[in-house]
Amino acid sequence: MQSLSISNLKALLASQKQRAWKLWLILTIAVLSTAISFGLALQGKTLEGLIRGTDTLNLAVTGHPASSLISLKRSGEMPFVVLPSDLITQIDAIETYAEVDAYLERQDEIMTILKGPTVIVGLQPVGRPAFEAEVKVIALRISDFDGSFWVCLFVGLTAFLVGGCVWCLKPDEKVTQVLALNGFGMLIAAVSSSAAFAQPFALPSGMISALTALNHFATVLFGLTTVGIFLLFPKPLISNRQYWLFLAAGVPLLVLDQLRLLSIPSGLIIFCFLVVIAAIGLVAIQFHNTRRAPHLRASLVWMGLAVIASGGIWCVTIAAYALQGQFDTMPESFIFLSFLILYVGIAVGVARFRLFDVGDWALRLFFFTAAALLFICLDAALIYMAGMAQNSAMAVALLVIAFGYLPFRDMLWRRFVRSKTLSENELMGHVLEMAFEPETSQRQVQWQALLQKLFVPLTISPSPVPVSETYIDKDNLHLFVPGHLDTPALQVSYPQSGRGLFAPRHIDLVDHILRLSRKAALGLNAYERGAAEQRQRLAQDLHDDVGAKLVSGLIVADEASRPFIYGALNDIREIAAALVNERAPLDRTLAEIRHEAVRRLDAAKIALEWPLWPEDEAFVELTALQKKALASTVREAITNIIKHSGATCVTALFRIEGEVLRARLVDDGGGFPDAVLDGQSGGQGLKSMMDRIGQMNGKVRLENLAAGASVAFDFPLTPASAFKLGVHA
Amino acid sequence: MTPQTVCLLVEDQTPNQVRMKQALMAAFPDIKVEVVGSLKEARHWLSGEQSKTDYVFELAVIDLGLPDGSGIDLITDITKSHPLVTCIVSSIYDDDVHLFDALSAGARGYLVKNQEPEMIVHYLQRIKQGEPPLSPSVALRLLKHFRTHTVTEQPDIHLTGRETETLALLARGLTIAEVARHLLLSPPTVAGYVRTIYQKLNISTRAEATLQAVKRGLA
Repeated sequence: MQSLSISNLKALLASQKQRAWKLWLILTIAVLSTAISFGLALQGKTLEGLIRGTDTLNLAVTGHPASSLISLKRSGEMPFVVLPSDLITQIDAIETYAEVDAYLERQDEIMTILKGPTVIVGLQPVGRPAFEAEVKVIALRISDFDGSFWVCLFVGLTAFLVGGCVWCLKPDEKVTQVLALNGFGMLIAAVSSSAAFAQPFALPSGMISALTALNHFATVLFGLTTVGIFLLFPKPLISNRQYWLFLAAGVPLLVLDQLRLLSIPSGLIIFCFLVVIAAIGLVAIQFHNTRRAPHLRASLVWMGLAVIASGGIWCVTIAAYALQGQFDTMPESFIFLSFLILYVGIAVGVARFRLFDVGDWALRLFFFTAAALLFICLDAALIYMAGMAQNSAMAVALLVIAFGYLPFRDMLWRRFVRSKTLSENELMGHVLEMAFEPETSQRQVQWQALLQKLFVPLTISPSPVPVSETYIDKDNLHLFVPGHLDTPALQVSYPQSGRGLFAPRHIDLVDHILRLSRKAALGLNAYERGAAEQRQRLAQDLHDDVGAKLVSGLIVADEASRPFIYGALNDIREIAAALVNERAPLDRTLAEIRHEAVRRLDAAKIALEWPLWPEDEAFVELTALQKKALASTVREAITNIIKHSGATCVTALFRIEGEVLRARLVDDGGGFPDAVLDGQSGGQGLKSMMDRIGQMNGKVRLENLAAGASVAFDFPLTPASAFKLGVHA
Repeated sequence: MTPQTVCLLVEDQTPNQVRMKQALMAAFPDIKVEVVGSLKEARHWLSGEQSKTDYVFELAVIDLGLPDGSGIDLITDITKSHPLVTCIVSSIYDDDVHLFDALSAGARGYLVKNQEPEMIVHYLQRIKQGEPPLSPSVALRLLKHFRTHTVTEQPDIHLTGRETETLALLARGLTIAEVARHLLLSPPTVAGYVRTIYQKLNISTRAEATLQAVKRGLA
């Protein structure tokens, strides 16, 4: 995450120059638009002490309670009766063009009356006779601006700045250009609405008409570019030319609107409905198209959610007001807010900022929106259907949400988001199994299996780059895991069978596992070290104490028992070596065995033919037990030859066949007695030779040749069997 | 009449003294064996030995684990004061580290106590005939030593090609006679190589020790 933001920053600095003018342009437009908004809003006029309600006007005159304003006149003229329709701020909410014209005419009349410094107003206090009073006409002050002015300006500026920044970050992508245009549309819509949203008493008709035209232009621009974004992003659905044609369709639409050929003034509201429907439809198509591109789909999920949330709120609100027949009193400025959700959602999707978190956040937001909608619906249903008082209805709705929906949401959350992680116990089990696995290759297999279980990736491969700590690549498609416990670093790609993305919590999870397994390995190492030290001490004692005593025993032993003591001394040495569990390379072991054999045969004046172990033979390691079995068997065979065969020459052959070591010692002596070959008799030496090789899963074969005898034996070199036997022995 | 050969046997345990004395007598019937039980006694005998002329001091068989110190120190002393004496180690230890230290100090042979008497006799005769025994593991150690210890600049302690070849073959379990056959040389020539290698090891070890001492400001 950090590296991502740093690399972004670097890229930003590198192309600062070419981006600087764009940023300045965006800021200039933003400042200018704000200034124009304020300029337009400050054009409006109002009366001193006037308070605007949704469709009422109240005026407080000194000496009287606040009374509703019913008429307006200049001294000496006929009074102008103020109607609720004069207070409409949304010209688009007026149902017919005739009413629009009448509205504009009356606005001009009011403006004419308000030209003087003062006006005479007719006031109607509640339950009292009407009276007239003279009040001052004043320019609208900033403190008088209605809340909707601020909401609208905030939404417009935010949308434009977000869109502009995304464009500055990625200026070369068409979708960001379109997004910037989209934000610009929102800004113009806001600016053109500002004069009305500030809620002055009235505005000149010329200004209203001009601003309405501008507002319609902005609406068309916003609507078409919104749909346009989903035509281009994440995957282009139409060609460039078709795209420009699509945007150009806004021109005839605007012309028709301005020529009043759309049959009703609110025609553009229907246009907006269509935009929302088209956008939802395109999101669905794009969702299908991005099924193999998880990083694109993640942006789309986010954008789609925004479209559905904001478009949904917008449609529901408009439908609600339309159904209640209060279309003209609809708070349009707040509808702007729902478009801000849409807009920011799209911007985030396009900029792909921190998208690894988006999967979770989209769901969180979805659940939150669902809770809010459910609350509103329940509240409304209880009030309208059950006839409950507002306060108690809200309390009941809250309780239902808290006890009914929230647990349900948690269940869904666990099901959709958390179900793929293993419990701590399962995890520990896997980690221990892996850490205690003696074979590196097996350990590697287990580690990959665990990663597979956790992330269900499409591929796990050795990392092409060295990995010192766990990280996710920029597109969140690949997770790089450092090597541990002698397993190599891995690249885990395309999680959730290619449908998902990696998130920072996955790094935490992997790091957690790495920590656990290191701990386990440390514990195991400490145990093994302790055990090894103990074995070492045992071996030392055996070697030094028992060995020394046997050596001392040699002097008092007679000639018959002496060989047994020598044998015992040799065994002690080898057992000590096996206790310390030294592994030895086969070639060196054979060299030592050869060295010993050649010397003994030399002393007995027997020739030895023992070809050198080939230098290019594969490197093989023997366990201490295998080494002992090999050395003892050859020693025993040589002893037999020296003592019993009467041979003059011995040939020793060793070779590896697959995973098996094969050995054969041939002499030219008198051969074995038949009783030995039948297995009926044979000294202790032959028996122990058979035992040792048998323990290594091998076999000894004795046979007599035409001249002489042969001792052949073999045993497998696979470490698994050696390990198994090591436990038995 | 040639003066009698004398052998110094340094061994603290009586049974071993007897056994080794028997083996020595079997290997060299004319030899006179002088038995001592500690470093102190051995040094005392050495200091008085020079004045005597009725015998020749040729052989020393030294146990490593002595009650008053390590036999290796004694080997170092004898190698310095009596360069013509062949020092042989007799030890219960059969590991490379002890053996290598002894060879570095100047020993020319190594007997492991628990071998059959016939083998010990055989070894002793070989050594006396100028065929120093060299086990494969020690040969490997020597190869490694000369490959890595190039701290000293003296060219005379680097191994020649023949010497390296000899060591490599010994490391694979060949005897000196077999190495000779392999390299088309005579056994005495190969035995000569081995003695040279021992000497070079001794020199290089000493040179290295001096170098270390100089480095630490001790000499």
